[in-house]
Amino acid sequence: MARRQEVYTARRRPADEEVRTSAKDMLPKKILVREEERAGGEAAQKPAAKAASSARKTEASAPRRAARSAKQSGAASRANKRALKEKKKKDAIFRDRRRAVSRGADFGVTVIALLTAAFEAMGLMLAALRTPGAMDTQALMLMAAMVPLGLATTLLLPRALPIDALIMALTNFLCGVSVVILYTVSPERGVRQTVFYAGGLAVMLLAAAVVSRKRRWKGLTLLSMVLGIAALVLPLLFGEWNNGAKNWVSVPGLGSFQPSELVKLCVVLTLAYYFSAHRTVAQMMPAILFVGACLLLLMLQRDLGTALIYYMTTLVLFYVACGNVPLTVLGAGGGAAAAVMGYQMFAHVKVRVAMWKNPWSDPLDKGYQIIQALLAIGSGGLFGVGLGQGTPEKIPAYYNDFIFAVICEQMGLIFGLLVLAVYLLLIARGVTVITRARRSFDMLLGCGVLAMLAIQTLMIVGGVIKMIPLTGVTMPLMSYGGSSLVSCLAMTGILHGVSARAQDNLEEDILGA
Amino acid sequence: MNQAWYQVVSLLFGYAGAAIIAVVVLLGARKLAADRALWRRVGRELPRCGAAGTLCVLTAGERRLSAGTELPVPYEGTLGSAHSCDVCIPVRRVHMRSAFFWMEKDALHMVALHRDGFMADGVPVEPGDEAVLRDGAVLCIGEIRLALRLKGRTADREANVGPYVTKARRSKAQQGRGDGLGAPGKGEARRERKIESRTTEKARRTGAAKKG
Repeated sequence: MARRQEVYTARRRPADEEVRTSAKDMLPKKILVREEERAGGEAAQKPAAKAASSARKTEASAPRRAARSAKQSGAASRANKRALKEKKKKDAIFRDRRRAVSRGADFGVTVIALLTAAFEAMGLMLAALRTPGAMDTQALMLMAAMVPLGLATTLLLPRALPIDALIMALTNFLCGVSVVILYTVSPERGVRQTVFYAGGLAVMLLAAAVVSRKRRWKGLTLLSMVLGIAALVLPLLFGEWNNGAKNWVSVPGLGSFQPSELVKLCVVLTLAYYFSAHRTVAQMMPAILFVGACLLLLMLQRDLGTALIYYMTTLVLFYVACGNVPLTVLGAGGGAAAAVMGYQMFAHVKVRVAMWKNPWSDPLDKGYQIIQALLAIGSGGLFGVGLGQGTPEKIPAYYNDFIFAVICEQMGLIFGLLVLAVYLLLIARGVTVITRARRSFDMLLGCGVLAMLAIQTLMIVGGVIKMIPLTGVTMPLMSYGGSSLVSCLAMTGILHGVSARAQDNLEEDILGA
Repeated sequence: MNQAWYQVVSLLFGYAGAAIIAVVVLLGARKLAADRALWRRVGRELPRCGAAGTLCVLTAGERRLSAGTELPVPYEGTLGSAHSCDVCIPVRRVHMRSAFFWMEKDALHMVALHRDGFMADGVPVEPGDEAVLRDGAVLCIGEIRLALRLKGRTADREANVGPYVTKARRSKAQQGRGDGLGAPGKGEARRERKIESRTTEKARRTGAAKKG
């Protein structure tokens, strides 16, 4: 600022002085000329009178001279102003470029990170004080783990690694809310969720690094196709029927996991690769066949919610990749026909549709789940019954599928709606990121991730509030479960990678300009 | 903590939580809008932003495209006379979608979509063939000659001694398909044939008039 002021005064000063000196030079000359003209007759006899008259004339012509000099000085100052304006514009461009390529958290993101930390600290402290006469040290330990982890990943990681600070801050907020709520309703699950969160962050960093650096994707895509099919076959061979579906696999010593959650990454990668590099329907076929095989295996597992997510994501990516409206509409029609067939074929789909239409027809058995969720949302009111209060345990699957109902009960409807606003922000940021991508592969990869997250959120929230039939999928980043949380964090890692590549390209452009 | 006190404090936490998440949403929305505006401003000041290089017109046959014009080349897209193409060459003799291209490492890969193909450094590239064009390669599409200039690849061009064009037969499936960014569909082909026949007829009439 000081330097700019110096430049301004250095440019301005000579011009003003020039004007002033030229005015000074002009005045004595003119007076002299007039005095000489008049000196021919009476100058010698009446010197005092002549001097007085010339002085009067000088006074009379002074406004004209002043106007002329003012005009000159005005032109100079206009030029100065123009130069100053151009300089300011250039400064603004450089400032914008510097800000555009700068990595790390700015003021807004820092405040979000601090607020997230404050929310986690207050919530877990409250959970620690919940038991009368004793302090829950586990909650304090959880607080000691969660708060620094959230702050470090939002404030420090984006400076060193390919991480988008806003996406990271919003992701941390959702995960933080999830851990606090889960800990108050089921401490064991809260602790486990923190462990999954830490593991998921590691997977997210790996995904971000791979997407931002890898250039050739063919080998990885083929590998992911093979692994995806193999992973979906596993529950059919070794899984057990649970809640009408056979989609979990138990690994001795490690616990159980849901392969269809992890296969989501394979689906997104395959679709992005084949829809970007090969632009005709025939060349998109490997991806379409792969998704078809996945859908078939999911139908055999009776995991229809996940199948719906895969199918809708494929349709969205197909339309984004080629813009072919007739084929997209045909695909949507095929999906609708498959849904009708599924309704006719599977008894549990019929039950879910019937309970969606009228859960009060069987309030103690089939409609119990949805009725309890609706009662929980209603009993929460605008600001909730309080953290750790209420009766969330009455809702079956309160910790995974119905966590949104628990949030609404404990924290209120306003909080629940604002959680959805955070999801919207996350998706809007993702859309901004993918519109900056230079290559269709990056764009489709990000688009696939966003489509999956958006569709999954819409399906579960719509199911919980009885807007659509319940599909039995998890709420991204919030539901309890390692497979779901890790796959969702890996998907946000893909977004980070796409963002980092766009940032690198912008830096190259700015350096080249 | 006493149960009654806990209830009061947990209710207060509900209010505090609502306030915190409201501030988070507001700050997030503000940051999102500010970043979008920033990137838009920066993009406006960088006219070649997002371009892998340029195609410089060496010789042009028509008024609409003068020699010396530089056409920015994105990292991938289509080349042709249609306005929807990423690199639009507004010359009738150039097919609506003449080729599609993508950047790979330090070269631009280009596949001909039309039966006429194009010439890359004097080598004819037929439909389905893939030309690997490095910095300095000269493209001939109809009467138009274009020189490829890739961003920041001057040193590579001097060091490169190998052939500019390598041919690799691609799948036949990509020919004659009308979807996406591939070859034009039947309707577009018909429209193009109509334009071509009109142009030929006009040229014939002009020739006959001159002779007369």
